[in-house]
Amino acid sequence: MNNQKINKTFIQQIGAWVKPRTRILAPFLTLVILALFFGVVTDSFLTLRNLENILEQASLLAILATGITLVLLLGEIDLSFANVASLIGIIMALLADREIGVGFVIPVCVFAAVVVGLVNGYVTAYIGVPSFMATLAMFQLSYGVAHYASKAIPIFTVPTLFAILGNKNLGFVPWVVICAIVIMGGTHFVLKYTRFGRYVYMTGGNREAAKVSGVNTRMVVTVVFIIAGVTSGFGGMVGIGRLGVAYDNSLNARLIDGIAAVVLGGTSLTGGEGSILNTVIGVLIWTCLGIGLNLMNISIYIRDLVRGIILLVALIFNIVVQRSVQVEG
Amino acid sequence: MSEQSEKNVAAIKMVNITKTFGGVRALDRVSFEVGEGEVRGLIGENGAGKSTLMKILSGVHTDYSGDMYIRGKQVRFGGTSDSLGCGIGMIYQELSVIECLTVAENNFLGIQPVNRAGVIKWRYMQKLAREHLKSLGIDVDVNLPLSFLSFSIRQMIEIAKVIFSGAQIIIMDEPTSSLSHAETGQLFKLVRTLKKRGHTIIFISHFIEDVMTISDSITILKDGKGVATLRNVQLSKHEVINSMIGVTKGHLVREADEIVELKSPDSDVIMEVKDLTKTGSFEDVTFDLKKGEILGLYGPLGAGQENVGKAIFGLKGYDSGMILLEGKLLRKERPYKKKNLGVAYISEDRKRSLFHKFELFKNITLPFLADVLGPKMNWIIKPKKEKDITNRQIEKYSIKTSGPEAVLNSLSGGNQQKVAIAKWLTIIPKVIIFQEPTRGVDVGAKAEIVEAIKTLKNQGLSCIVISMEPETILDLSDRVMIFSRGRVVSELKDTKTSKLKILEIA
Repeated sequence: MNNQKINKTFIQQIGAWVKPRTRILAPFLTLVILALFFGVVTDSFLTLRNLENILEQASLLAILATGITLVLLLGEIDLSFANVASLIGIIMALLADREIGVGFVIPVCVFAAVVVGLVNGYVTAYIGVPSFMATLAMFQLSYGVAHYASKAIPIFTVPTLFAILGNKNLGFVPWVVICAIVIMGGTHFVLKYTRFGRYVYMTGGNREAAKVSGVNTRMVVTVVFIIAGVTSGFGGMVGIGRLGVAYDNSLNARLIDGIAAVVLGGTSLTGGEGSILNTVIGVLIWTCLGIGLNLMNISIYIRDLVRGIILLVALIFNIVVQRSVQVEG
Repeated sequence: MSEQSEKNVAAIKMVNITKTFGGVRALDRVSFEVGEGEVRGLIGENGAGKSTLMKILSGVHTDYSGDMYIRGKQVRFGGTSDSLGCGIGMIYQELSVIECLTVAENNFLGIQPVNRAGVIKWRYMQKLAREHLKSLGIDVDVNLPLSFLSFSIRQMIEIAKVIFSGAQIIIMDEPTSSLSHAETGQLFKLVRTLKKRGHTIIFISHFIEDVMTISDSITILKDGKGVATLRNVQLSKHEVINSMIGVTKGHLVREADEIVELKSPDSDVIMEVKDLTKTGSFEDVTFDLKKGEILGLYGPLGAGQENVGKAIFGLKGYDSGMILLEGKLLRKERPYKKKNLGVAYISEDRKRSLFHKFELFKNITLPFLADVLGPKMNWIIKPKKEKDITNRQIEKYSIKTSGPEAVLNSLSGGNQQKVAIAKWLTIIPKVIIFQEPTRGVDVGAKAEIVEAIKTLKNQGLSCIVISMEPETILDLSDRVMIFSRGRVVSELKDTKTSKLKILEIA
């Protein structure tokens, strides 16, 4: 009798701790399960070398995914970020090819990224075009500009700074990991501790109520799209630095990776719920999945199919775990 | 359904209907009988049980006690489709027609005539719709999408659609609340045509004059009980209102003729509203607000006072006129600018003004987030300041909660309403607009909210209270502007008045 009582309160205590943290624990559990699975079925997954590799690959995706995390927190979507990353990468390479110094290249690239974000944000927030369509237009537009500017010819000149950021280490730590930590850490701080971050969550949680409470919601949406433009632009520059060559579509395929990672991490598509921490986990899940499947030596023809199935299962798992805890409480 | 055998049988007979919502008795042994081909008005104050009774009749509420007979046959509806099957159609304030479809398509919604291959017979459908509408005296091009037509025409098309699908009994819930005077006339013409064709109509409205114009007899509900059914012959408005509000035992409810003395202070004007007009909503609204005064804007549903409040705060636009705050012209700006000028707005709709999934402290500090920022780095939120302010507000407005970290959803409706007020008072604004501050809260919370608003006034704040509940207006106001159909029809200043008088003017 007494024992049961104690057990019950203990379970209740665990429940009380778990319940508000489900949104982060469910994807974390997915990550652990996935890592253990690949650790068992392959010899090389849980080796230091491979884990370092995962971290390095995840970092570039993480930089790209930071901006969309903010966009999704508002309940909006950005379909253009991967193409924007390619575009900014091409601009960087074109300028470097004409032997223009990095001190001029960076401001030009940042400016271009701000303009792209401003257009996305203004068209969405002030004109009222749904972000799905506005950023789909930007998706096409940024590819169009990149295609035109490069004439579809690869450019092999990359500023030394970004070649280093993409490939070299600072001691043991790859620069790209440091870049990701700085960008995600900064964004996490902004979201969690600043007035602007609070406005982002509140606007995403209930746009109407935020407006009635005197929040300039249009401005919040616009600024978030500008931040998304800048983080994807920076991701593009580091990404091209890493590849050493810029195509007009080098990073376009990252669109699916980025959105899949953010949502797998547990950030809600309807806004208001999620965080950078969720995106960190989501990015790790998605990268583990890619690398793990590579190591498993499955036929390359079937790999995408398996990845799709696991994505679907993981998404269902996230929802089921979150919902079951909510019902219990 | 042959018509001979039913000469003396009532179209609707409801006997001893009782309905409770979680322990609260919404209807208490109400009996309601309407004859075939009659137009019956149904009136009562907010919460008297009109909608509940009609929702039982239309099959929305299925859990009640009592008996119901339609044309002499006992029925118990399991859902709205049962009630439709019995020939009962309900027209809600929010129409259920589809705006992007044409008149003819709406008329045939769900019952489109098709040929053997399953293709819609457009010509046939248009012809039938045209004939049907013509027979009801509605003159409209059946190929026009509804979005091209006015609200009043859409409403008539919805009525026609319900008739077309075979309804004999039509319930109309506040049909005239969004109509102009001329449009109301058109609607009444349609109601008379329907009556001539033998349809039975129940007409629910806050507009007593409208009810008295169109009804054969009027049933009055009060506090979930049927008070009386009066034959509409030589009836006076005074009589109707009297039996509608009557004498109540509840200590917080005023008696109809209880005299309330209005007295406005002799202070300077803080806000002026001049000739404010928004076509279709309100016209030439002019008033001023003095320092330390509570100005009540009263009007029945749809009289325009609620949109005046939204226009002042910048949530809705206006076509002409101006608003001055301390002598300075306010531009038609968005709410975040109005907020910084010292105007606060407490919305009537908690769903659209609070964040139900977020913690209490996030809700409370949002309007004046600038106050919880660090002294040096004025873009970083100081958690301690935030908690302190929230705790102060919880105490000041006696919000019942486990603490600042509690999620808003865990609070009761009345306490949420207090949060809606408290969040605007973390600093002292110049003018506060209260939109329906007591709607949907229980008696105890109502008293506390009234007390809180009065305290603010005593501290010298200027308030505008907008409400369609005369109780709230009289409890709070120093001065009252009465709205009717988008216009200010009367100003009650330094005078004695009563609930009865207010209702009569509106």
